[in-house]
Amino acid sequence: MAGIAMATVAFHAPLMRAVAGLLIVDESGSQSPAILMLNGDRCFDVAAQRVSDDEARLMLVRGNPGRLVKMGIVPPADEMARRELHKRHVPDKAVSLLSTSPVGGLELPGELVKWLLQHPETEVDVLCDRLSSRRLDVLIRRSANHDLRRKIHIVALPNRNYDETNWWRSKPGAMAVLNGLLRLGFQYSTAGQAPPWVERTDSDLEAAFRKDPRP
Amino acid sequence: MNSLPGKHGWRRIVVAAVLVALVTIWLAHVPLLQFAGRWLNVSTQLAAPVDDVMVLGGDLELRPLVAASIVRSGLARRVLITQVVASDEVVDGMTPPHHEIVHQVLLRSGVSADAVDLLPVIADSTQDEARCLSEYLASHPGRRVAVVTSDYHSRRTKRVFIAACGDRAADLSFIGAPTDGFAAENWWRFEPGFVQYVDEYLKLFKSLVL
Repeated sequence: MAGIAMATVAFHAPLMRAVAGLLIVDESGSQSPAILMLNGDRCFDVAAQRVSDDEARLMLVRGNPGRLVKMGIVPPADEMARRELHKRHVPDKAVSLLSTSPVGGLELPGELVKWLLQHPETEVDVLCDRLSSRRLDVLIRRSANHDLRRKIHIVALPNRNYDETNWWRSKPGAMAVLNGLLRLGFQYSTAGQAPPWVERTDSDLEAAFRKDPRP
Repeated sequence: MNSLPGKHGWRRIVVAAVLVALVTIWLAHVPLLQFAGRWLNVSTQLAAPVDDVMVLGGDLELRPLVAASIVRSGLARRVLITQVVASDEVVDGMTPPHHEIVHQVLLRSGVSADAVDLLPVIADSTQDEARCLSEYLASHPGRRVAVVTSDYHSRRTKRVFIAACGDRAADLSFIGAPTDGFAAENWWRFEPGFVQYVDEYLKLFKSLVL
């Protein structure tokens, strides 16, 4: 028992790297002519560089608007992305939407498959957060057959403050790995079907603090 | 005569007990998970008006909306908000700071600008927020404060705030804001619910041990 404990302490760094490695699928380097931007630290810088170097075509995702967007406090994510790309001198004509209708997180792989079927000659690089990349791979494999999956290349972008080699040294890194493991575990344990998402009403909010909320 | 089971007999009993336990857990997993979800929520409703509502960081939508609703109902006069450690997006100037968004939600929900106080602390945890309120109560003795957080976060919040505020915690109420999508009754069926409830149990465990 003491030996196992000592070995764990002595080899904690490779063990920790292996744990974070479970979360990562990185297929960088394909230089596909199309790029789907999802998330990841400095994804706008990476995308702008690819447009500049390779004349890649960028695709954004229009998500379902959240409360802050509906209240006009923050812009929709695709608008914010266009603004950031514009700051980096990406021409508007290089940017389009994957789908004109809003796409939820679980619907995204299906929309990507639809797009690939409409553009059979092309391949696509998907920019995403490094510690969410295997989760994305699991979701994509549910929608894409083997041939289509080979046309999709996940580019796993590391965070500027941590990656799989040092995540345990900072609170944000530890939280990112923990949440990544939980999200991946959830996706492995479900078939990808989520129950309907219910938004709380004003009376739900009032019920939080008032014994007899008004109807 | 020895009536105790032999080595193989004990093994069969243990295997049978484990199987019975697993089947029982499987059959009762829905009420067990609902109980686990409800156990985290120790929030109460407001029995009487308070002076201030403190909105804890970590949720930009429903916590401030509940705080605004409390003020609009005449059950509180002021809202206290904290600053939160800046994310990479905030550092890069892509999104406004957390407290500015909360401030905007409050203003657009009918709270007047002069009823909002920004507490002078940059918080990185519930403990930081509890220390911040403790200092506020030390400089504003006798104030009654409703602390608004998410319902599943209320047990840990109450524990941390009582530890930080000591005797002054008697004047605190803990209000549990609901979450969009999931609740204690179905949290394990949604990815964000699963992550947040399991995270909360891990953090609660850490706060009990460390």
